[in-house]
Amino acid sequence: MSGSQFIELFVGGLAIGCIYSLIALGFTMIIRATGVLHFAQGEVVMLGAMFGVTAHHLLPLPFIALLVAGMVFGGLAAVAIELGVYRTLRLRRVPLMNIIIATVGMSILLQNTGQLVWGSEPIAYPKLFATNAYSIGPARVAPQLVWIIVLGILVMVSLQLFLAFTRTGRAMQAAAQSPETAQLMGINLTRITAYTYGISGVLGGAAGVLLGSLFYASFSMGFLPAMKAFVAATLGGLGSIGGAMAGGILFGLIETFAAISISTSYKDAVGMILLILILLAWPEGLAGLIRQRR
Amino acid sequence: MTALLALDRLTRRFGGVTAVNSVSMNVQRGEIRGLIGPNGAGKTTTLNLISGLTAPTSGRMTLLEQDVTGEPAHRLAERGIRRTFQNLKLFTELTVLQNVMIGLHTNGKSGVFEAILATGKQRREEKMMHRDSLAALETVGLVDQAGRPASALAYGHRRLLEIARAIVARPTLLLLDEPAAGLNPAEAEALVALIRRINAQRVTMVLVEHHMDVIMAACSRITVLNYGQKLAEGTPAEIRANESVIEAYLGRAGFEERIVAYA
Repeated sequence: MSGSQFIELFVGGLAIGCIYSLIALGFTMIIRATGVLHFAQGEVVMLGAMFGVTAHHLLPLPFIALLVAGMVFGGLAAVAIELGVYRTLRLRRVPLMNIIIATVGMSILLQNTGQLVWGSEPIAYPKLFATNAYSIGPARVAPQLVWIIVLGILVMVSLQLFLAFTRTGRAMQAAAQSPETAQLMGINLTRITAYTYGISGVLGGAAGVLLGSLFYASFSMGFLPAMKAFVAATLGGLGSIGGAMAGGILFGLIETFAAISISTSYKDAVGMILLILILLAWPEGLAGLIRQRR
Repeated sequence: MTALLALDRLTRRFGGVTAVNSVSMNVQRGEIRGLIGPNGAGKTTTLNLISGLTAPTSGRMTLLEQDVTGEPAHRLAERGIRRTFQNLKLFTELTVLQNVMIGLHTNGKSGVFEAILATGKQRREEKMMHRDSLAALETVGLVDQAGRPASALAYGHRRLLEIARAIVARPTLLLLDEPAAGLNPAEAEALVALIRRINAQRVTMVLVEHHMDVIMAACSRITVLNYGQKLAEGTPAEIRANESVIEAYLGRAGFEERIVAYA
């Protein structure tokens, strides 16, 4: 592998990895706060991509505005699902497993809804970036990839700032770590759970627009990336925010290089094999390894 | 004068067990009320009822002359009730300072949208929370630990952090569940001084404690529970002399021995 090829692959892997990180963060936030594995997260990604491309058809906006539109609608969609479905289930005190099954149902329902509203044909994203490749040393890199990395990291940094330096962000962390104590500090858990779904939806929506711009938008686009992001979250250590980010980026790189060095047709299988290996070797993921060191 | 907190025949049953049985108690403003009793007497359940973690099966609870019976914990927290736990419940992944800042949650007004837009109001509020939290850490003597993760603190310091988190919002009523558990005698003595300092800032307290020396030194009045019922109530001197307390609480010999030791 030549140096320039390595750089090109590295940038590509980093870009897709940032997208996995965003989706993985969505999973992680919800698991931490509620213990629910949100299978419909991939469909929130799809909705973000669809809203982004629809917004472009209504009004030819710059990419950053489409990203914001996708994030806002992804967030609203996730809050609507939480308030309309999951919250009702919790109020009826159904077991956690039933709620998780309900998220599978929600995933299928949203895919069908997406197909009804936007059709079964993939929708191409408009060319939003400069087409002249950037040069990094000898390598030539598509501007799109660079922007995906920059925007993806920007969203993740904003999330960290939000969690550490705002009242609501801290309340979300507190509620995830010890719900009972958080309540005694006057934190309304019902509201915080809705916010958590909202933030996860915002992250999913961002991932959707970035993913759509890389390939296309389609009703079924969310499922596989969400599965891979779940692997990434497990790789990082399920329930760890830093782990989700690191795991996503790592997974994107592994997948990209594995596709080149093994075979592109096994690209998707590589991730799933990885999941099984991680669960066998380090059940607590990267975060678990770091915790052990302390 | 009406009481700050009034429990009126408060009862809590768990299945067939009556953990708290028709307990009435008036806590006056500014008081440090001790709540003692043998294991299983219903002390922690009483604190859970007052803080709203458990809803009463029957009876009434009044705070500042308002009926607050059955209100959930976060509503009672908004009304100014704060507590600490027998088993420490810190947010271990957050820093010491962030733990205390969460104690100010109810004082903040700014929500998600102000935070996203980083409005002036949000930043002023954040600054104020920061300052008040440092002041609370100063009170308990942990200000030099502010930036460390809560999980890195020594045991005694974790207890103090829980207290800082509970007092930062200037509660109207502070519930302390065995704050001296696991502390050595010197630390326990420092704790009594801290409790007095907090009380001097007009914080009314209910203190559940097994350390008799802490109870006797800190409390203005003591309520004794036994099998979920109120057995006696009075000043430390009255409780020491109360025959039924001595009989029921520790068995005659044990109690007198301990009373003599702390007198």
